[in-house]
Amino acid sequence: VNAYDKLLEWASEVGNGSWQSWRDAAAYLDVNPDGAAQSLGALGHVEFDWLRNRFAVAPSTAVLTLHSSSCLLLTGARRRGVREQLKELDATDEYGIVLREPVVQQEGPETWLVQADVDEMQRFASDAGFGFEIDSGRRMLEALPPATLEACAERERPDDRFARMWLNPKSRFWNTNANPSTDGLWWVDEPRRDIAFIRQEAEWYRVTTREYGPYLAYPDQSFITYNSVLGILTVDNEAPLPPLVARAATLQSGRLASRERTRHSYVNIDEPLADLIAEKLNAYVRWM
Amino acid sequence: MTSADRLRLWSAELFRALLPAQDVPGTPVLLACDDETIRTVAERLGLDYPDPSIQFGRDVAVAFQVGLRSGWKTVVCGPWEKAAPPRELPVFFPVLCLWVLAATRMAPDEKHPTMEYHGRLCELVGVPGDDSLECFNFIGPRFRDFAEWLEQDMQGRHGHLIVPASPHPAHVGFAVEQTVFRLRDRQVLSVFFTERLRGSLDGFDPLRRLQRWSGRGQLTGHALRIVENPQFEDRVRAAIRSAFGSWDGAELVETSSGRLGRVWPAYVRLRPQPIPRLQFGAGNQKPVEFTLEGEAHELDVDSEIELPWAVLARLEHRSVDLGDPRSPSGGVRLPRLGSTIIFENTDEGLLQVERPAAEKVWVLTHDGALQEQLKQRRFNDGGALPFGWELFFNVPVADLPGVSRAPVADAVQTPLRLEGGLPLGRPRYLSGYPPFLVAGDLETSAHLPVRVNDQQHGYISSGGRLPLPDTAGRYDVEVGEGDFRVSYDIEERGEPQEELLWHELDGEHALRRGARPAEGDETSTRVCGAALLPPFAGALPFLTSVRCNVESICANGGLVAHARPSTPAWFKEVGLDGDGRWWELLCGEEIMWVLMPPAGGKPRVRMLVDRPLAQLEPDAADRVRELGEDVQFVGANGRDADVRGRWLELVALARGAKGGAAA
Repeated sequence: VNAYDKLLEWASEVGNGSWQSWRDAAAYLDVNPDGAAQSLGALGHVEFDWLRNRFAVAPSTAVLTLHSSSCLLLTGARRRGVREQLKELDATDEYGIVLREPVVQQEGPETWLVQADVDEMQRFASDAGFGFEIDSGRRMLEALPPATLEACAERERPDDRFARMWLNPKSRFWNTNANPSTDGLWWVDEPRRDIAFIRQEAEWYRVTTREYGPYLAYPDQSFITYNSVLGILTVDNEAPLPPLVARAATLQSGRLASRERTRHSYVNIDEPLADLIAEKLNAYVRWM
Repeated sequence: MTSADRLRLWSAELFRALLPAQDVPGTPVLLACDDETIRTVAERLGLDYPDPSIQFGRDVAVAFQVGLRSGWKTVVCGPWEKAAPPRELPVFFPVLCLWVLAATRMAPDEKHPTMEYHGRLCELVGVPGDDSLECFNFIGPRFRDFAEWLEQDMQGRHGHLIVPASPHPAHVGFAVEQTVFRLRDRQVLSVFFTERLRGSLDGFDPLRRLQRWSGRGQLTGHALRIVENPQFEDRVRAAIRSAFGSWDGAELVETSSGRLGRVWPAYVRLRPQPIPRLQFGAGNQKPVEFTLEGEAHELDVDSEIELPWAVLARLEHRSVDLGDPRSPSGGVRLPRLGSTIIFENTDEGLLQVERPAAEKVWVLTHDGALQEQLKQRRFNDGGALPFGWELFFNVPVADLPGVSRAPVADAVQTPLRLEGGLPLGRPRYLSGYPPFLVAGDLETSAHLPVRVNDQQHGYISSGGRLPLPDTAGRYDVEVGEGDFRVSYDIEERGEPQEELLWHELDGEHALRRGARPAEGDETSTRVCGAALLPPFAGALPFLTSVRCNVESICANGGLVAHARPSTPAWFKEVGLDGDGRWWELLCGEEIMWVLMPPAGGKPRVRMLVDRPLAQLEPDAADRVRELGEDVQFVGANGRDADVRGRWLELVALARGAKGGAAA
């Protein structure tokens, strides 16, 4: 059990709260609040309303994902004692399930997997107090509209009380000293979180879900690489996937993207899903 | 509006300001009405007078017909006592306030000796002379009446008024003893409040904080003697609370005329882009007019104006006051900024701070050595900065000589507080994750004892951090001799309120909205965590654990080959790489039969749906004919005969389909 598990347990016990309370709890547990929000959001445990600055835990859900050896991924709320309840259910032998040992991850809570017979999955999920979903990551991605500037951004100037920096698409460096009238993606350093703005032909657009920023500002740049043999989708750190796209990718395995120095990789991504991600982001994905 | 109308307003608002409801009924209180209280109350009532205290005095005089002959007769002979309890706020309440107000003005001035009371009271009510007016000797009974009303009719909710049994001087003493702080003391207190009590008094003993404050020596001798006398502790606490209640955030300053004026401490903001500039604002409650660098300005409420770069030189060594502190709106005080100015990113943008809490800051400096040291982080100012000054971004505080990080942001710095823990709604915490007791600057080198539920728990000193109990229960924490008190609860479980946040995926704003509470059409496509609406309506995938490639015959009669995938690398990470790995057969149609190669014997087939097929595609028919009737049935679960019957039907269908005709 690591700090992220504790944060999830607390979020589940409190149900919902302000961003400030999330930030305080994360600080108490010595984890980065933004990183924790990103991780727990990608895993489908917690949702964030950035307009009202609130978080709320998501309903407990058992997700059957493909290519995962008939495993249900248990996500959403994890109240205190729920693991013990699952063990008790497992011990009854009334279900054809194998409650697998929790698998730790570095920057997120444990992955909880239950191997189950397809016929038994629904009954088990229901008796354990979990909703039941089939491949919901892929389904949410299918339902997501494709990204365009019109769909993702609204015309608005950055608040000049805060400093901003420009993403150089070639060097991939953020530049605080860039010419203020340069077109492209600007990151405004607001205290709650950085906000993405796109400057295009002297007009400013606020990208409300900031992760779409790099893909909209630099559509000719490739931020994503896909290895179809290994089923691994690798994303440059400057252009993390938007929350629901990241969730769709993460729910394929229950594992957070593994981090290297300049990029991070999602596992268990099949070809149709990689195609779907490229389509929904309108992104140039390099195939290997 | 008549004087009587105004007096009703004065009376109600003064009661609210001076005697607010107390957390603990019966808390000792004073009626500490002074010029600052009257000014604050006048502002709240929207009464705009050059000298609100004089206006208040005149209103009392008119409403109660106070004069040289009548004196205070009307005040003492009203019908108030006869009314049935609970009685309304006594009509003479504003008179008590006025009597105390006159006592707070007992300080050296050009008209009266310090100890002169009646002359100051007469001045307030507009009566010539300095003699005691008729019926003033009823002041004692009226204070006692009021104390009785607070205790009986208000049941002590607004406190217990401290009324001296035998005051000195005989009658005036009743008013004098309601006061601890004189006008000059209010000036010192405003500095104390600015420096030490920016947040709130919650949990703190204000007397202990004042006694530890190094600036307390500036108080008048009268106030200092009372503050340091253990006999008057309750009185002083009540007086500080009262003064704090009417403090509006301005610092009181002595003006050239000897009277007090007010200045609003200004904050300074850096706006770095598109070209750097400085701005300032203050908490002023009315527009403040002033001249800066030869230009007339007006600083509106909640607004900011640009700070000319030329002023930086003046602010290097001292603060600069703008506007007229004696005016009703007061003046503005720009802080001394020094030669290196630190800006911290806050919710309100980049604001100048003395001690930043953040790890990285922006720095504006004309210190040549520091400029050389920070040159990697120099901001391109486009030539906007004055000669010699340079701006730097994202500078680690650790790189700034002589600057240490504050443990918490300026705005919330308090000497003692509960911090951390995993709250279930304050002051409740989840068991195992209790708060810490954290000390800032306690202004003493002593280690203060900490008691929890009346048991010694530990000691805390400046900058200390003490873990508190973490098991379920209620805890009352007391630091020192009641310097700070706070309570909290620890619980095993929370009571989570369900408030689901959904991503609505329909409509043109789907990618702009983010997660929100559900609204509108319940049939819309939406996501919360891993839950998706509308629910999945397709068929469950078929999973198999066979260790070879297989083929399937689907509902449309097609043959689909399924290659068993190799074990992905991530299976090892999650422990799924052992025996018995399952995999899905996916073909977009309902799978009817699974065909498997022999495992040391006959070819194997498995029926998934007990339904005849209407047709077979040529390749499917070829495969079924190839397998023939002599196959092994798996997964029949005791229904071997039924399954065999279906398979023979399928073989017959395949044989019939040889010429291309469907059965």
